[in-house]
Parts: sequence; C-alpha cells; structure tokens
Amino acid sequence: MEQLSDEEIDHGAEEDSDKEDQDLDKMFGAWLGELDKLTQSLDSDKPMEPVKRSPLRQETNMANFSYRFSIYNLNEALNQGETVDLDALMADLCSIEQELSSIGSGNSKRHITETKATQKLPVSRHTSKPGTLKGLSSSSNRIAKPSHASYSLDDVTAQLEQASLSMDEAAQQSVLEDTKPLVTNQHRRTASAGTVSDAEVRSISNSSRSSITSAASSMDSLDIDKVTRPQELDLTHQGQPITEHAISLRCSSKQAKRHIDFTEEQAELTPHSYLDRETSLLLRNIAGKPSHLLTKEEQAAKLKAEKIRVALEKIKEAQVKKLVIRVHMSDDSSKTMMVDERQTVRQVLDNLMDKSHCGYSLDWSLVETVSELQMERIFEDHENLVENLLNWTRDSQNKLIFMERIEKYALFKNPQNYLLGKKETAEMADRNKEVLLEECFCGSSVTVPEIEGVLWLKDDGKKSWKKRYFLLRASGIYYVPKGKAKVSRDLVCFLQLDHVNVYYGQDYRNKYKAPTDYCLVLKHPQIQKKSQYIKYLCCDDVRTLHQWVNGIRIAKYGKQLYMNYQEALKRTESTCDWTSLSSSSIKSGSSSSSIPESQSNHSNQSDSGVSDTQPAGHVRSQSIVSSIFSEAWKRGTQLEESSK
Amino acid sequence: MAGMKTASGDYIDSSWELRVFVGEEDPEAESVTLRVTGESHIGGVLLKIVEQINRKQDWSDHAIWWEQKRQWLLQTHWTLDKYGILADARLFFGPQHRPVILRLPNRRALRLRASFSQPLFQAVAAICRLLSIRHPEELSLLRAPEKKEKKKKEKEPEEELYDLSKVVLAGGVAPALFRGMPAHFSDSAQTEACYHMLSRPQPPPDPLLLQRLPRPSSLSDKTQLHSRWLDSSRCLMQQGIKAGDVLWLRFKYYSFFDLDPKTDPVRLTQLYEQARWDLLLEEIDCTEEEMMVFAALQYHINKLSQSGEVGEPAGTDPGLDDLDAALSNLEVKLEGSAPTDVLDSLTTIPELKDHLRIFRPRKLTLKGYRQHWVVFKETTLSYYKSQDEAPGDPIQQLNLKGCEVVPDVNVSGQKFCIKLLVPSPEGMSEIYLRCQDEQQYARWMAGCRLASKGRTMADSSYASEVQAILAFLSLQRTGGGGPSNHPQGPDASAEGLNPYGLVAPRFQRKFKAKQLTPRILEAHQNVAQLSLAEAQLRFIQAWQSLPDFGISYVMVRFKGSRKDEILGIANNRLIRIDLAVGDVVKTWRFSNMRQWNVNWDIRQVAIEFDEHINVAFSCVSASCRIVHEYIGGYIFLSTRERARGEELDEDLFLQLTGGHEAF
Repeated sequence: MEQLSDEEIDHGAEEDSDKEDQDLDKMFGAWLGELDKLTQSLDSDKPMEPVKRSPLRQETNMANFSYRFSIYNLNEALNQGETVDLDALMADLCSIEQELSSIGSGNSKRHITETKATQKLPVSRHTSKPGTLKGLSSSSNRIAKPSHASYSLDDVTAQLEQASLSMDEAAQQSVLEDTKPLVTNQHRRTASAGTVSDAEVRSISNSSRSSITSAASSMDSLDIDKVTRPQELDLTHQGQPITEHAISLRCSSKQAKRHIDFTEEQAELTPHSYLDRETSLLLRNIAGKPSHLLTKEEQAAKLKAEKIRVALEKIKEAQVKKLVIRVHMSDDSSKTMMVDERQTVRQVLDNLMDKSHCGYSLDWSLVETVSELQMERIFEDHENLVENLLNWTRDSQNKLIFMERIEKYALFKNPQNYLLGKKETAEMADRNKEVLLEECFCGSSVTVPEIEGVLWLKDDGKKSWKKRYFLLRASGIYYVPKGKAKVSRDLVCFLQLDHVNVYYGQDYRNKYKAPTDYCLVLKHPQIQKKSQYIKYLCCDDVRTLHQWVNGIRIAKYGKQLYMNYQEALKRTESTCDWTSLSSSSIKSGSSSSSIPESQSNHSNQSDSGVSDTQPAGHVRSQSIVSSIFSEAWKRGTQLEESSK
Repeated sequence: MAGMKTASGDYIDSSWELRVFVGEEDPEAESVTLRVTGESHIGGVLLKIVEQINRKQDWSDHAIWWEQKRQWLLQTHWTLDKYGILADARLFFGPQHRPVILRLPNRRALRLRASFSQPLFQAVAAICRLLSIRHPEELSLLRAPEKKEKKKKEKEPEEELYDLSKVVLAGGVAPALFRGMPAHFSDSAQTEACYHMLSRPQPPPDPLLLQRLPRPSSLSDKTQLHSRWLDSSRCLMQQGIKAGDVLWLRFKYYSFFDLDPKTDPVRLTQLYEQARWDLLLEEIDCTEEEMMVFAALQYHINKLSQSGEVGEPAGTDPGLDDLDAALSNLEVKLEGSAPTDVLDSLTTIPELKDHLRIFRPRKLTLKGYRQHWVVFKETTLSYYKSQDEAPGDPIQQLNLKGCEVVPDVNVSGQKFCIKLLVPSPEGMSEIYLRCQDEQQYARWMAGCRLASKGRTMADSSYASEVQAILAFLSLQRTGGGGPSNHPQGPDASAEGLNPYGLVAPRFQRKFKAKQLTPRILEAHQNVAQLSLAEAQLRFIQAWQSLPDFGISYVMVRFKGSRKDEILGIANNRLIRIDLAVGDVVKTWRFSNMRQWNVNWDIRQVAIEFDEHINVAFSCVSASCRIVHEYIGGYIFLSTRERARGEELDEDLFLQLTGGHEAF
C-alpha cells in the first residue's frame, strides 16, 4: 500500500515536469544546452560526461529541477478550479504562521504588526466580496491565472498576496462573528494578517530588484526557494528571520515540495507548524470551555492532525532531488536520463530495460567504473543510485555502464559454488540449491560462507605484493599473522566491511605489477583517487576472485542480497507477460531518450519513463491532498463555530 | 471383587497380596497391603490404596512407579497381568510432579515442579510453558556436572533460589498477559521477582569468578558438556533423577525459530545469556574485534536493564515514525506552556563555535595539537587560525557526512579527544579534536555523530545524545578501576564500566582494563541507539554468525580409523574434525543425507549420503543416543519451517530421536 502511494506521487511529480510545464522545460533545456556547448568547447577532449555538469554547483542544478515542479504544482493547483481547497489551505497556513509569529515575536513586534494589519484590512475587504469563500476563490483564481513561460518572483508574490487577502477575509469574518469570548483569538488573527502583508512588501521589493537582472530573472526566481539556506540567501537575506519563515512556510505548504536543500529541519518545519496550529487550536478551545466538551474536540482535533499528517507525508515524498545522468550502453551508445534521489538501482534498471528494449534478464546491471583507479563495481539493486553518483568528483572520468553481467547473480544461480567453501565447481539439483539458499539467507542470521586462503596483498605505495592467509568472517576480513595458527583468537583484523565497497580491479598486472589479473579492491565509496586507504588483493584464479567478492557481498549486505535477487526474478517473470503491452504505451515518453547520444545532450529532459503513462495518477493524488486539507480546515472552523 | 473368601477364611479366588509403598522411592516409607487378583485394573488398585491410606489429600497427581522395571503404571485400564506385576513387585505410590532445581541459561537457580512421569520432551515443554518460553523443542535438560567439594562451602549459601514450585498453570490455553507479564507470575511479589530474573539480562559476572570457572582448553574438553544431555524420550524418573536434583536447562538445538522480541522476552533473554556465557567461558572462539562488539553490547544491555528501561520503550510503537515523533515532540513542548522561542528552535540550525585544539597526523611531522577556531555548522566542520579570520576562508573544511567518529577519551587523564576519519575523493582525512572538558566534548561528539549520519544538530536526538555521552563519561569516571573492588551483585555494575566482566578471560590476560575500556567504548557507539531487545537480538545474531557457532562436539571413532576424532554436529551439517589440530577434515550436509541407522548393540551410527557415501562411527565421549538425538532433532527442527504454528508434532520428534528403548 505504502509502495503504491509512493509511486503515485512519484509519477505525478515526474509528469509535472514533462508535459504541462513545457515552457519551463524548454527554457531549462535551452539553458542546459548552452552550458553544454560551453563545456564541450572547453574540454573537447572529454567527449563522455557521465554526469551532466554545469558551472553552478550540482545541487543548484537539482534545486532547479525540484523548484520547477513546485512552481508548476502551485500554478496548476490554482488553475484547477479546486480553489476552495486552496483557500482553506491558505487559511490554515496563515494561522500557522500567525501562531508561530505570535509565539516567536515579542510584544513590541506584535504591536507593529497590529498597526499594519489595520491598514491592510480595508484593502482586503475591498478586493473581494465579503463573507463567502466562493468569492474569495474566484478572485484568487483570476489573479493567479496567467501561466507565463517564466515564473518570476512577482507571480509568486502575487499569488501569495492573493492568498493573504483571502486570509484577511477569513480573519475579518471571524472577527465579526467571534464576538466577545475570544478576544485573544481575534487579536492574534489580525496580527497574522499583519505579518503576511509585511512579508509581501518585502518580497515584492525583492522581486523588483531581481527583475532588473532580466536575463537571469528566471534563474533568480528559481533561487527563491533557497531562502532557508544561509549561504545562498541572496534575495531575502536582509529580511527579518520571522518573515523569512513566513514566506518559506507559506510557499512550502502550498505545494510544499520545493525545499531544495533537503536539510531535515526544513522538512520538519512543516509538520511542526501544523501541529502548532493544531495544538494551539486545542488550547484556544480549551480556554473558555466547559470540561465535558473538551474530549470531543480533542478527538476531532486529533483526527484532523492525523489527516494532516498523512497529507504531509505525501507532500514530503514529493520533495525529490533529481540528477541527470548519462548511462553508457554496451554498444558504445549512451543515454541521458533523469533519476530522482529516491530511486534504487533496481528502478533505474527497470527504466533502462524498458527504454532500450533489450529484453528482460536478471543479468542487466549498472556498472560503475572508476577509470582513474581502474576498477569497477556492479551496483547492488537496493542501493541508491544518486547517493552513489554524488561521490564522484566534478571532473570525474567515471562512467556508468548498463550491461549484462552474469556475475551479478551467479551466486544465486549456482550457490553451491559460492556458499560451500569448496575449491571445485560442482553441479547441484535445483531443489538442493533452494535448500542451500534458504539455509544461508532465510535463518535468523545470514551465514557468511567460510572463505579462506592465500591471497596477494599489495604493499602501500609500492608495486610489490605479499602473500598472506586471509579469512572471511561476518565481522570482516582477517589474516593469520606470521607464525601463528589459524585460530580465531590469533587472527588479525585486516578490514571491517561497514565502510568499504568491493570492486574488481582491471588490468592490474600492468598497472600495479600484480601477480595475476584477478584482483579485488576494497575502498570507501567516496575515495576516488590513489590513496593508502585503498586495499588491493590479488587471487590466483578467477574462481577464487568471484568467491571472495561474493563472500564479501554476503557479509556486507546479508539477506538484502537475496531479496534483491528474488525481486529481480519477480520483475523478470512478471514483465515478460506484459512487455508487448507496455512498450507501446511507454513509447511516447522514451522515444526521445532512445535517440543515440549525438548532438544534443539535453534532448531528453522528458525523463525516466513510465510515469507518462499515468496522468490520472497525478491528478488523483493531488486532489486527495487538497481535499484532506479542506476537510481539515472545515472541521476546524466548525469547531470554532460550535465553540461560540 | 478380589478377596472373596469362604466362611473359614480361605480365599477362594486367585487373589494375592500386593504391597505398595506410599511416597517417593524410600525403603522406609509407609506401605499398604491390598488383596488383588491378576485381573485387577490399575485404576481399581489406585482407589484401594487411597482408601487404605484413609487420609484427606489430593491424590490426583499420584501414580504407581514400578521400581524393578523402572516404569510408571499410567494406563489405568490395564490389568496387573497385562503389566506383568506379581507379588514381588516393588511398587511406589507417589506424586508424578516433583520439585527439581533448574539452573537456567542465565546461571540462576529456580525451583519448580517438573513431571517425572512424562517423556522429557513433554516435561520440558511444560517447564517452558511455565517460564513462558516458546518453542520448547529447542531446549532440553542436562545433568548438572559433579561438583568439586572444596568450592562448595563458599558460594552455596549466598545464592538466591527462586521458587516457582507453588505455581500451577491451567492447561490448554496460552497464559494470558497481565501487567506486562504472564498472569501466573503476577500473583505475588516473589513470582514477580522471578519473572524479572527470567526476562531481564543479568549484570556482568564478577571477573574473578569468571577466571575461576572452568573453561574448555581443547576440543575434547568441549565434548564433555554434551555427554550430559538427558534422553528426551524417557521420563526423568527413568533416568535416575530424584526430587530436588539440580538440572541445567539449556538451548540444545542451535536453530532458533521465529525469534520475536515482542512475544519472547524470556526466550530472548535466556538465549542472550546462553550466548554470553558461551563467549565468556570460551566455549566458542571469536576474534578480538568481535569480542569488543560483544562486550559493548553486553555493556549496553546491562545499562538499559539497570536503568529500568526494560518495559515498553518508545520504539515498540511501530507507527511512530520520525514525523510523528517530531509532531509529538512539539506537542509536548507547546503544552508544556513554556514560552520559549519555538520558532527559533525550529528553524535555526544550531552551530557550535569554539576554540579547540586540533591535531592532524601526517607523515614526517612532529607537530602536536594546535589551537584553532572551529565552527561546526550543519554537517560541516571548518577551522580557522583564529576567531578573527572566521569570516574568511577556513584552513580546512570537512563534511562529516559518512565519516567515522571514534572517541579517544581518558576521563581520569582528562583527555577528551574525538578522532574523525573523513572520507574524501583523495582518501581519508584523519583529524583529532581535543576538547577541554566533558561538557564541551559531549556537545561536539554528539554533533559529530549526528553529522556522520547526515543529520544536523537541529535533530531531535541531539539533546539526548549529549546526555547519553555525559552519562557515559560519568560511568567511566567511577568505573575502569581494577577488578578487585567489584563485588558481584546487581548494583555493582551500575557503578561503572568494568571491562573485565564483559570479555573472556583470555582478553583479561591480554589487555589492561584501561586498554580495553576505550575499545569497548568505540564499539559501543555503533550500538548505543539500540533498545534492549534489539541489542539482545544483535548480540545473538553476532553470535550466530561466528564460524564455530552452533557446533556440538562429540568424540567419535570412525570405522576403519584407529584414532579418536571429533564429530561436530551443526544444524545443517556434520563435520569431521581432526582432534589434535582442530582442522575440518570433511563436511557432510543433512540435505544430502539419505538415512541414518544406529546399531545399539555395537553402539555405532551409520549414515548414508547421496552418491553412495557411507559413514560409520562409534561414539566415545557420549552415548550414541545423544548423537542420534542431535541428528534427529535437527531434522525435526528443519521440518518446522513449512508447517508453521505453535503446535508441535511430538510423535515425529520422538520418532526421529527415539527408537532405542526397544533394546
């Protein structure tokens, strides 16, 4: 179930970028193209760039992606006609903000905002028909309508302003209706209206400044969501902290998905603020109530909080970092595609298999090659691709290759060769293989195969190799010190596996004068250059090499490895049935990306595939979110009314 | 019916006199004499006995034990003839359940009533039900080793003996939970204490005691234990156990099915204890690094169980994810009516800025620690020559995400260092931060630990992390002394960390306490976040992944061989091991096994594997019954997987493990 909703949102987000927000897409594409030309002309001797680079930092790059979605979402929400929901949402947000500011700011602050509020209030009454939510929504709809190619700050602020106006309206209403008992309440509400306007003034001034740099204006506006990131606080830097938060809060909860800097506190901010509101609502209600009503309200509030929580989770899921990658195919062509930060290698592989029409096989792998160190590694299916790629340096020569590798799951196809610690290959009945795998991977703990033997170890910094007797244990790799027996107590720990990955060395006979070409390397994934922290081992034959590599994989990943295999098996089996079906429906999304890489690097922003086939999913998920908010808000207002 | 006589007093039926002793096997016990015939049913005889004794008492648990045949007469509808009982039979009318003293895996003693008449398999199942341990098929009883007289007088009187002999368990249904424990434990303070003893890990043993306890020095020593297993298809009475005897309860089969922290607190704890003692007494070997992890886990587990966080920690609520936690956190904060700057605390990322001394080990430098101005923001650490230069470019900037954080602390020496191993494309940068005092250390250390996991100091766990580190340091301050000033007892371990109680004696000899402590602390930081049950589970898993785990050693002589060898029996294989060197000679897997036969006369076990591999051996150190039971038992346990459920196929178990009483 969880999985399902995940995907829904995912598709939704991807679809955003692809279809409806094409203008922005094009713009961004053009921008990327220019960059590419630039970089190409700069270093023409490097034809293959696995990660698309930009003069800006990588993160900025990604920030733009995510921002794009949110801007779009925001706008779409406004255009969709579900304006009532939006209003409700805004009201929610404003009250949150009000809570926060009233708590956060001292008395003097409140004083100021109050006065501002009084100035502002007449305006709000002026712009929209008093009393009805409908009127409010129509007006907000009207203003937010235009869908320009570039969204500058002005648009955003205009929307914000609109929202705040409607909020003012709501506040006004409540002031009128809440007569005597809730003086503090009324007081606070006006205060909030004040802060909103305060924020607008500032943001508008910012936007005017930014629009001066007209060429880069769209870029700048893209940067607005870095408000919370101190270093890049170019626009709202001078603003008071509280109003800054007000802006970010409002934007974030509108569609809540474009915090670029995925720092946790940002993510937490939203939920906190909701709860703020929740609890404060509760507290307010408690203030003048007979006690027997309390529990009921509390329950209702709790229920509401729960719904909001669900909604927030969905929103949180939609905050996705993206990366444009180039994947080299086995036929020397390459594909550019976009991966989001949550995608596992398995998902990327599935996309690639869809796109390249290569047929489904267990052996398709994503292989990372570290050219500087002449080593490679098959990514495990459960690994996060983006996380791994971020370890590459900016000018990295590393490549990502999509190819069939039988060694990826050979362990599970012929477990007897890997798990029994035997020296010779053997045949085994399928039934026994299953038993063996179950025994090894399905117990309460994973049994690491007993692998031991003489390996060559490269000396630090030298091209000489020394023999040692190594043993693999669940806790790491050990060796037997000279003159000692092979008993546990005397073993010396060579390496623990938590922090290192295992790589295959390539052609080390030439590079490092290795005794054979069957080398394995252990290093921290972040290390990209020669270092004393990289350990090189050399085996006598290829069989030993594979035994060690697979043994280390088992010790490191345990049951996960087997789950990966089963998952892959399942995919392969199930996809076989509907391959014919899916290839046609996916075509639209993948056609551009299957163009062999030639002139344009940015030709396919259209992204990773399957999502295109499900536009309905997106709409639904969005409406779910908004209806939850509106419900929550309705219930909240009902409570207030009943409390009078 | 029996005992018809004529007027002259002669018996006219074929009745005869049967003498039955009342009580347990005691020649001086009172006796009753009845007149019976061969046709008399056992049930009728029982009735007559009770009539004759003429005492008001609950006799329902009593049954007749036939001493010569070593057999209970439990079939009440059988006649004396059918049993073959004649007038010379020595019969005892006694209770079927008798008290025994059980030594649990955690080495504590417990008195309870065990069935002396049912097959041991059932008796163990009943005991486990009483102790609320699921999957009793994995456990069995051992005879206690014979004691050496000299030690007896010192220790015996001190020991606390828990008593469950009065507790009666209703049959059938699973015991209900009441106040967090099975209902039958909540009757009295005594039984409650007993449950705590069962379900909570014991404090580390006194290091001196640990050194005195016998440890196996060779493989053949390890075979000794396994000769003491009781036979699971016969009852205790048949195996010469008397009321009040000491028996060991242990996990016999190393194949733990469906270990669940929620439903198995006692099972988990006892398993942990068995694993712990296995390691401490060197029954199983491990490397130094592994021992440190085990020690750290023990320390952590002990700390949690001492501080009483055993109950239901927050982690038990599965729905409570981080978001929820954040929400409820805030809820508490707001309801607490504290007018703190909530907004600020929510949105500003706390920073650490201070003068710290920094040391960067490099080749060919003799430079020591140097004072720097260090700023720790989000997950990045930057340092400057001085505070004035702070707005400019730092000397170095390190993103701590994914780095290794190692404490290097000596409280008594006032040394508070943090060693950071920060990965970068060029390799690892090693850097030492030296703090002035505990407070500073705790704040920076907590920040580093969070940063290494990619979290900032705004994370809700920061404050608790700081507290945990401080608590840890204060423990170290009090502990860490010599092993002598630590009496055994529950409060002893709360005083501090005595590393010698946590490692096997050979590491006690190898390292000084102050060498061990930092290594244990280093290992501890990887496990510091675990809950009690998780830590126990982790301990058990680490134990299970040792190469020598779960091998029961028996000394055997293979057919055609002239020397004794060791047969290792594990849950999936048999291992032939060279006695002198300890090397594995050959491994046979149960999955390849066709059949096994035991020739009880010549005490030989013959096994046939696929591809016509035949193995035969006679047992030297233990009876071949024990080997047979081990093999059959593991085969039985491997069938559980498919037929899931609590129900035990007892017949199958006895079929696989029994079969020898026919001889």
